[in-house]
Amino acid sequence: MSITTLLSVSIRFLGPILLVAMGGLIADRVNMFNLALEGFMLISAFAAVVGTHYTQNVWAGVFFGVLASVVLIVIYAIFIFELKVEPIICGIAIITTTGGLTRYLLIPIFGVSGRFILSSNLSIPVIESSWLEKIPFIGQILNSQSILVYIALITPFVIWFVLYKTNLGLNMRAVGLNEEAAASAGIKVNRIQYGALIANGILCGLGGAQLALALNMFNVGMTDGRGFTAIAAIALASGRPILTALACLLFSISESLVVALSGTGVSTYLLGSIPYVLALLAAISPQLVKKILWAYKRGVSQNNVIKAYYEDKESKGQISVN
Amino acid sequence: MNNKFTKMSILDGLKNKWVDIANPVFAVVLALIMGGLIVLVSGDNPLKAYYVLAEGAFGSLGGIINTIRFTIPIIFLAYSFSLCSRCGYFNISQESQLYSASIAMVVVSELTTGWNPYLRIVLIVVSACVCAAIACVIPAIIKFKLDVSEVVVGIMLNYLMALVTQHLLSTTSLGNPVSSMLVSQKINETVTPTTIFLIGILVVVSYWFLINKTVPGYQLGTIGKNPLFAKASGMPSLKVLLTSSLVAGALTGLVACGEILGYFHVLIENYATNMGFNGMTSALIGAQGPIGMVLGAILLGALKSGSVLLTVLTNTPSEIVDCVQGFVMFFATVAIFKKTNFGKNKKLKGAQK
Repeated sequence: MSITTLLSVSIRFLGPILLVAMGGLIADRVNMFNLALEGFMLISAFAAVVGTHYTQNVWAGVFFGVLASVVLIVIYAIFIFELKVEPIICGIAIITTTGGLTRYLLIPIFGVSGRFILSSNLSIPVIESSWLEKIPFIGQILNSQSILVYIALITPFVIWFVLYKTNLGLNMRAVGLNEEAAASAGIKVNRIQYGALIANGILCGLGGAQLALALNMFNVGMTDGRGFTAIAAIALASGRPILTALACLLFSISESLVVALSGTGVSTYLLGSIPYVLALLAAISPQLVKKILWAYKRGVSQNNVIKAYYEDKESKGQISVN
Repeated sequence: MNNKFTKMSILDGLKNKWVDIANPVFAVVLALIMGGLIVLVSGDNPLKAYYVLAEGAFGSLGGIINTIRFTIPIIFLAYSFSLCSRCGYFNISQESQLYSASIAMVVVSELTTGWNPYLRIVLIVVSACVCAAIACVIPAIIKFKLDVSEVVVGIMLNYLMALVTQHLLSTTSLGNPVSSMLVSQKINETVTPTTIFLIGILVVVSYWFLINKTVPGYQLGTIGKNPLFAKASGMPSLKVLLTSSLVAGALTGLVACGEILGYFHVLIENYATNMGFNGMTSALIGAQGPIGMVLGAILLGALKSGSVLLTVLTNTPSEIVDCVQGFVMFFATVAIFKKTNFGKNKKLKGAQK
């Protein structure tokens, strides 16, 4: 597999995870850490396949996927805001429920268990652009991807712009830093949080739809921890949109490496574990580095304080060094 | 003021007890209704499905034995989950603990072939518990030393350990190359279901005793409810937490022992999938009380054992059980009655502040 093909496949894998990570990031920035990205992605992948199957139209499928994800996230938001449920427990409940629901509904709707494959003309169409093809390296990587992948590639920049260059973004960051202070400054905290969650639902819905319709199939548990990988990417970049996108790219390259290396004699199980190891490292390493830096800084500043103390005493002639 | 305060708190206690029972019951009923609606929409008779489920779980002696067989591991997992969550650590990595315990069991059983069978059983069980305890304490340390969400770490570990298990079974001599499935070499030692049942009762009683009657049990509850108070009153928070997560891991290790030594006699790939969620769900249903969790586990165990008959007698696929279980968990998260019935409590809370 040549490097261009590898990167092109990476970009294809990047689509869903980037959309989901961006959704999670929006929620994260308004202090609504969303653990259930995986669940929203799964339900939207399922709804997208069901919608496509019944309407025989991919875009209707995408719409249904987004709709399902948004409806579910509104329920999630109501549970958290109105019924005061612990978000983490609610998130896990969402993941379990969506897992069970999709596993069950597959049987009465399609009459199959475990996996349903749509007819191949119902996968999401790829865009072949002649002018992109002319750009030597980047063009070949970016060309012939689905429109959702292009949307995914734009989202980090849009979110960066909204977060750092608009009033709304300022309000969002204020809510994320300190809800009570933001509320006392007249920001409608609840409205912003609801809005962010709905945006999160839309992005997760697009991500799930891309995941399922790019392969024109649904299988049980097809998200395979991608939602959690997205959370790890957000943690690695500590919530900065562009860096999060780069972290997602790292994961998707590792995923495409798994595909490239499978069949070369390396154990598929070990290959399959690469993204999880990366995600684990991504989640842990920023805090580890921060902790070490902090300890180092504290050590330095303590030394400085002690030095200043002794220098002070020395200058007053109370003690003599050496 | 003082008199009124005590009066209200006694009333509160009574009402709280009622609420503790009403909430999970309501959650279960709501979940069953939702599950029933979904069965109805997909064109089957929900009442018949539930009747067959109940019949399969409790209708015959075999059914009841089967229900108990599925209930005991769930009780253990729920206790393991609850021990950790009482001190603020979300033990979601139970699947990885199960896998590491089972790998340890297979390794020890391979190393000790031909030894005294009783000694072997003891060695296998001890190694399983130790490995599971270590696997349980790692995310706890990561959480409390580095402040990384243990949920993300735990779920990644679950995926990772499942893959590592598959890798070991497929490439090393631990696996059985003859079998068409990915399984390990056979472990010949057996623990009878009766023994597992007795150990289960022992664990339930000692857990109840630990939580309600001992100092560590009290400390556990306090650390979970109010870590600052616990710290201020000089409780060794981190020590209690690490100890309890070690114990919780050992409990999970016992589950692996029960499953493998009691029923499978081999390590099957992916056997632990979703087992952790079962424990969590019954812990939520039981509101983390020792008896409540047993009832929750019986419910889930009954669903699991009844689902066998469901596929035989009706058209409803047994996957509906997963669905109902998800709904139970979903609704059990909400303390509905606490919200609606306790408008009066606001005054009390204000007074306490």
